[in-house]
Amino acid sequence: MSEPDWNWGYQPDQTAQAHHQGQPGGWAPPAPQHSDYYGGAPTPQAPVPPTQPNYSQWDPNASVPTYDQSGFGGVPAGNFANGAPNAYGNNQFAAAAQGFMGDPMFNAAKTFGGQFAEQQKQALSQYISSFNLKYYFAVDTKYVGRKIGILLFPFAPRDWSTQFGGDGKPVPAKLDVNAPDLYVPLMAFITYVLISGFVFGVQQRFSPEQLGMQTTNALFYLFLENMIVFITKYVLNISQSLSLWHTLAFTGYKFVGIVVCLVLYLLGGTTIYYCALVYMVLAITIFLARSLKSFVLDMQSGGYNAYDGGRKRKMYMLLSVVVTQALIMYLLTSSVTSYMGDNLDFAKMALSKMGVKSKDVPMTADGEVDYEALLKMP
Amino acid sequence: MFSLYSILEFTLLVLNGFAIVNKERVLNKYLKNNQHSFHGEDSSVTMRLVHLILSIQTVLRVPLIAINTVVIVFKVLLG
Repeated sequence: MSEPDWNWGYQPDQTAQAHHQGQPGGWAPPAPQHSDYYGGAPTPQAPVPPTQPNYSQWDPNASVPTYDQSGFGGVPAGNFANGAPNAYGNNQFAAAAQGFMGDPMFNAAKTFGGQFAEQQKQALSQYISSFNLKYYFAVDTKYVGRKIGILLFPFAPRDWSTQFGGDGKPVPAKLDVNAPDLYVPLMAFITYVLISGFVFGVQQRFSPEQLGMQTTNALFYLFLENMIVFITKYVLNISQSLSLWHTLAFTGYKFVGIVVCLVLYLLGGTTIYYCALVYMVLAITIFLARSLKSFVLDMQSGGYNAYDGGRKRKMYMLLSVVVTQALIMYLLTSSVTSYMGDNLDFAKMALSKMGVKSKDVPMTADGEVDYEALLKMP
Repeated sequence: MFSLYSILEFTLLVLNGFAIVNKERVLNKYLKNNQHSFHGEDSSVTMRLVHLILSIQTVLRVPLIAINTVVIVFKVLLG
């Protein structure tokens, strides 16, 4: 496409009638309104092309550039007269849009808006300090593989300390296996929701609302756990190195174990599920105890906190956090797996909870459960 | 074991309990020892608990009124 008419077809030496006559489509604004729009600037200069963002070069003291007739007066209005009639409509809208974009007021507003947004972002980032989520997602495949290996089998690694980079900040996850990340917990959480939906489907009690309910339930337990850790950190005056994102990462690691337990339940049944649950609880407990020990007890970050006593309190908090993992893991999976898949489940559940291990529930002739005989059973 | 709703109810009732604690009767015993002039030195567990309760009261008194009203209306209407 040829060079668009930056002046919207404005020819200052044309009269208004010739202006209206010569232009096809007549969308070009008439000359008196045109100059009013530009604040009465008589000699337009070359505008900044709209595709080039030069925010850094914008000088706030410079006035709004005026049009220069010389550069673009040569673009004839006949450009549009030469356009083919079927390309006429496209030409009109594209040229209108680019005429608008070439408008210096619009450019000025755009650059000023950009600068304003930059300033606000800097001012805001002073308040939300250390909001650096990118650190937690700097992972690669090797790290994910090794992390999942450590989660499932925490007895092998010997070194649990996290390394620090050059400027005292912890090293991102690509370079250090022990660094916490948010990618593995996020993926494990989503996998847990999907697999629990799958288990529901196998048990023939799936509906799309179940997915939402499982998500809400698990998210709520996660949120509750993090709030408890947060408040406990404040009350017991434990160090600053365990930020909120760190605890979120560490509490999210148990979903990997939960996913493995659910998969084994699908493959094997209830007994394998319980064995896997016990083993996963053990693994997660050891993993968390060893990881958090290096964070909470030995971390020398900050430098303000000369009061480094209270190791007993920190151990208490650590142990309590670690023990509640077991409870939550059981809670999250029990609702999925405790289902006896026959349509007399109420009666059988009631019988098994009563301790009666009988297999046959008395039935009436209709095939319904005979409750009177059920109540009369020993 | 515990449903989501019962845990939410539990937190609401506990927060109500925190908001009701009368400063003069209970907390002054702890606040008299402390000068309460600077906030860098409240490193004992009891002082931090007292500060936690005080801040919960300051922040949450008015929103708790609203939340309690909503919950009461729901329980009256829906059983």
